[in-house]
Amino acid sequence: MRVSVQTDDLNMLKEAVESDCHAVRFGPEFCEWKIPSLDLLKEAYELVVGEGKGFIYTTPFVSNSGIERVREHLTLLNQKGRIDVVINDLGTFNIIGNYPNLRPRLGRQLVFIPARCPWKEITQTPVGFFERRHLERIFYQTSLNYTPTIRFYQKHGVEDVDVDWIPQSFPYYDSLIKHGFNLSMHLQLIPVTVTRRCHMARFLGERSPESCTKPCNSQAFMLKNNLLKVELFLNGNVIFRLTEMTQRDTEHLRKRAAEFIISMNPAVKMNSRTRINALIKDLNS
Amino acid sequence: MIESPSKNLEKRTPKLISPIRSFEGVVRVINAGADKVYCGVRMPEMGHFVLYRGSYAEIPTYDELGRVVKYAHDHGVEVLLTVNNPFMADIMDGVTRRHIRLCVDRGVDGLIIGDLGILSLVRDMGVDVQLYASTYFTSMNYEAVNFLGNLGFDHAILERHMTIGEISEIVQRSKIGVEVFVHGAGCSNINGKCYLFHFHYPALDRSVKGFCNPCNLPFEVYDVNDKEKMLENIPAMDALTGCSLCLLPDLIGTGVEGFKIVGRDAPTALQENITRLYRELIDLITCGQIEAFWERVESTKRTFMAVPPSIFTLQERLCEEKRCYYSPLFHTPYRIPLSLSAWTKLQFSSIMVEE
Repeated sequence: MRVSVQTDDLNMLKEAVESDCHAVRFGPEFCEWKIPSLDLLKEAYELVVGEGKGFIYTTPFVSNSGIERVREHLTLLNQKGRIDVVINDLGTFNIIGNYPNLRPRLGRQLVFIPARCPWKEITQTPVGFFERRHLERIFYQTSLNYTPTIRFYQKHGVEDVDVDWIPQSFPYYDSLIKHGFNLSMHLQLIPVTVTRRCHMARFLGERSPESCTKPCNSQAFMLKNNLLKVELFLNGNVIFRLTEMTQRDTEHLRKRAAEFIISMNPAVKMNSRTRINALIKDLNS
Repeated sequence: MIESPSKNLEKRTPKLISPIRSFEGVVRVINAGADKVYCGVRMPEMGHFVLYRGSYAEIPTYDELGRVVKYAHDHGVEVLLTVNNPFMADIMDGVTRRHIRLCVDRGVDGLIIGDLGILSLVRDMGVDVQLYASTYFTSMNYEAVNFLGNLGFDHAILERHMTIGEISEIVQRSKIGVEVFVHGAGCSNINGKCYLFHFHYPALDRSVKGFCNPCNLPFEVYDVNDKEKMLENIPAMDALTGCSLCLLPDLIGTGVEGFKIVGRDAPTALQENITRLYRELIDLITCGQIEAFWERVESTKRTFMAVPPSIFTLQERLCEEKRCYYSPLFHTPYRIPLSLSAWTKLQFSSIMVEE
């Protein structure tokens, strides 16, 4: 079982490469305005590879201008050799085939999992035991638990998929493994919703995406609503919920997941090699 | 080189695509000027599985769909079926296949699909109808739209969090037809990547000014480093947009093929009124009566009740907070002070809710 660290910030990447992780995923998962410059990407790649760790490039969902930047980056990385690219946008998926050295991985934003929903109940209507069982069997599935969808992605070279730590969905993840996918399991934070009208930037009075000072690199907020009975976390243009990682679940996944992913995110104060190593130790204990 | 939107103004008139949920609805929106209608149909086997809309937003039976299609076709209007699920799993294959077959047999002209699995299923069924890629695909760039075109889609409906310039570029660099939403609750978040499902909690009935999605509710905001001290209690996620009347000339200029109105769950009267309004305004623009267009827009803002029986006009509910579709991405509507008239009405409506 490998452990990767996900970050889009060079300072955090420096902490990650010094940690006990096996690979670093570099690049934003959610925000196209955090796509690094070409020079920064080169520097990040050299740093990671120089430390003998695996380099994985992460891409977000993107607009027209974003896809051009991603294209430029893919061209560069394709010259470096065989590299995995996490894809969260169908446009990026469309062009990845032009780069024979790059291997597509399906990012979380291309895998629909209803159970990312933060509400306690999965239906508003009081239902009986059998009806509830039926609903649960649908609700905890993923969009990959459909044979033609699996065939489609495998035909396009996808072998690895990113999923979230949602214990009720584990049986359906097992089915993906049986179909030949390698599972990359995100720890701690589950994305509940994302926006292009960045909630954090608007809350803090940022003027425009182009001039954004990226406060999300160091800040996060907790959002509480007592009527909805939820606690959520705001970081950048994403709203997360926290997931509880029990010992039992960890053991279950250690045998099944190909990769655990630790996101360097201020919402969980994951900002140093010490914290990364502590979490890796917990996973292995 | 990307053409400016105005150069496309005379290229084509976008089709107006209205939501319906009943036979009465199709009669009224066609009478109001819809070019196409779209609808869902209740799937009996999935009764309690609700993600975004309750079954009240859907045509209740396949027979009623048959009557809707007959009426629409008699009036030269196409009917598009929204295949409701944003995902597909093996256990849903049988019921979805049966559902699509029953709807296609009733004569629908197109399917709005939001998942690659459902697309595979439809192609496997050999169904011969137009295919529309839903906003669930989050199409925000021309490569994504062309990818969907290569898979067999005839049209793509774009994500709402975009600018006019981005839409225009996609239209010019895409191989398939492009459609956009123009009116109704434009989500605060990316439609296809949002899991704040619209279960009908009592809380949602109490949100401000008739907005009733979870993202419009106030949240207590805390710094994660100090969870004792509340910073604010505000609708921190609220970036909802709702209208594009003022943008219509620019949107037509982008060359999009269709304007879609949100609201399968809206009251029939609202579906009809919005359709009539947009029909009139599109016609004024395409006939070159720009001055009359702007006069009509201004009068509409002051008099149009945004959500009957809402007490707010369009001006009070949307314009004052600049809740325009395709507006600057970092605009913060909840920071804009309410006008005196809106504030007064809000106090009045709060009393009504409490009672």
